[in-house]
Amino acid sequence: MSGPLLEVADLVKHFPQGHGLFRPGRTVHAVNGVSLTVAPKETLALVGESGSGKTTAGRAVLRLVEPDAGTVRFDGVDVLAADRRAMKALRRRMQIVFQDPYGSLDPRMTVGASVAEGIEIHRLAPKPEIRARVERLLGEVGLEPAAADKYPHQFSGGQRQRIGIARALGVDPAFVVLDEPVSALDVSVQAQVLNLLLDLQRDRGLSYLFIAHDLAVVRQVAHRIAVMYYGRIVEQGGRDEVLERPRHPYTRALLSAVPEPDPAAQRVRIVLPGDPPSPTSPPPGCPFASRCFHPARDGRCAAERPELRPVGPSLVACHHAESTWETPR
Amino acid sequence: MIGSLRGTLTAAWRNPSGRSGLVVLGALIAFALVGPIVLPDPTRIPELGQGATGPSLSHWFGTDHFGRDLLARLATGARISLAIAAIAVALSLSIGTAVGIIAGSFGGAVDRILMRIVDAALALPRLFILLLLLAVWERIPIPALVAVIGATGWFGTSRLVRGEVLRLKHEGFVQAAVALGAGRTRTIFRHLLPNVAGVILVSATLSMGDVILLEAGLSYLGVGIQPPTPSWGVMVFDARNSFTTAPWTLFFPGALVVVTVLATGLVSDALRAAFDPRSA
Repeated sequence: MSGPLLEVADLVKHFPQGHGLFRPGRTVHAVNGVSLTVAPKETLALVGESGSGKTTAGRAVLRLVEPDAGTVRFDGVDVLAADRRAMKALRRRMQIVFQDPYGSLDPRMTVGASVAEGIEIHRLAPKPEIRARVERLLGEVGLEPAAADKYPHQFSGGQRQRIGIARALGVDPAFVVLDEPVSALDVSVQAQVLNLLLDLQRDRGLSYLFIAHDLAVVRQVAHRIAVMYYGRIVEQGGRDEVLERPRHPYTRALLSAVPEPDPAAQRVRIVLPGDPPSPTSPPPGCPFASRCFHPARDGRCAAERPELRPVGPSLVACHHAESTWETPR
Repeated sequence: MIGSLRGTLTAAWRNPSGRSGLVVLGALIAFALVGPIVLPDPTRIPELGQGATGPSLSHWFGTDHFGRDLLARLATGARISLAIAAIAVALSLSIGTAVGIIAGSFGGAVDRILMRIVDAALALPRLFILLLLLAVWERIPIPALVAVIGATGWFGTSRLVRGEVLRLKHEGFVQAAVALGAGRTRTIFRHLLPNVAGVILVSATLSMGDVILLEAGLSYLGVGIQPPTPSWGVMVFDARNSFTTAPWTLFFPGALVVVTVLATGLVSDALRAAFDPRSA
């Protein structure tokens, strides 16, 4: 593999909130300096709890929300500097699949029209051939050609998700942001959709940015994992490294929340006290300090923000990442 | 996407209440078109006027206090009231929809400026705005009256449409269209407009009755339709002194207003259902 396909550096997105006429507004720090890379044909999983900024980060990469700072390079092209025409060309290569299988399809368009949309926008096929392409795409995601004439409400959640995938594939992208693509689905359907995504990755050589909160799902699809907390990446590394040897206490807590299929297995569930700090007033130190259970935590954690730095083969943002310790019981 | 107009009408026809609404509206339109041709001059006052007479063989719906044939006045009034209502509502819905979609989809400063204008306009009573605008005319031409009514009726609609657009903008399917490279025009015409159609239709129903009554009120204040030309509104107000002794002078124009509003409601309900593929 040559260089990365997607390179994101120091991405920042703040949302102004509650600006009144005579009252200065506050700012929600949704994404606060996220850096990551995705190699060709690779899946990087971006995990974190609700509100960690992972969805905003995924959308900012595609400029569905306009980032406030940072750089995004896709295949060497500066995405954030792209003008309208360059952006349209980029959109052919970078796609997204959404979490909500109900809101993500236009209820007033046939499935065929939805899947054809990208083909029409980029004029990828002459009009008479669009139908055949749509049917081919539907076949690729495991749906009948007749599905093209139906409306979204006639399909189940899993089928809708397949339609959303077909729509994204219509423009023949190289990179797809998968924004919690299976979180809204039943477990049995989850597995089918995940397998479909893995097959598509293999057949089409796709790169994925897989946004998720469920580490059991991530384990099945990710090559590398980036853990987000409070708008920042706190740990990043190879899948097995992060899952087997988590170095950040937050990653440990997240892992302890994965359901254990074996009822006899010993497991310790870490229940984090409290909530993350308010997103409108970031603390000066480590954002996790208020909930941390690391035995070595000290005054430095509250005073100084830890940078993401290499620890072993991973990158970790914790002052005490080197000290090995047993999870408290 | 909204199917062909014919397909939508067919779907509305299949709906029983939509069908009754369409029948009633059709009958009213036929009455407005044919009535004035076959009925006597609605403005002529008989020389031997005997005041208001009740329904009889020679005057099916009776006469008003000038002795004019009520049926003839209702027919000509139907032309005027229905035309004013339909055109003014179409005008205000178009403006309201355009403003709402522009404000909602552009957002930012465009949205703030447009919505402050709407806020200001909503803060003033519509009748007051209309009186200000109409004060310039001694005798207002009907097209100008329609334009003025239409131009002052879109504020609420624009609010409604903007709200819908703001909600839709964050739906996955609109975001997906943007991610696919759809420009603003495509997003508006392919995704936003079809999905706000239901809200617009509801708004249309509500405005129909409003506009008929508003025209009546304006005529009463002497700035709308000028006598002796009849409109339903003018007739309702003409009946204000005689309705205790000649209740039919109030009943018939009033009933037609109510029937029109009801029929519009039934049709727009059926259209809304026809627009929605989920109900197919």
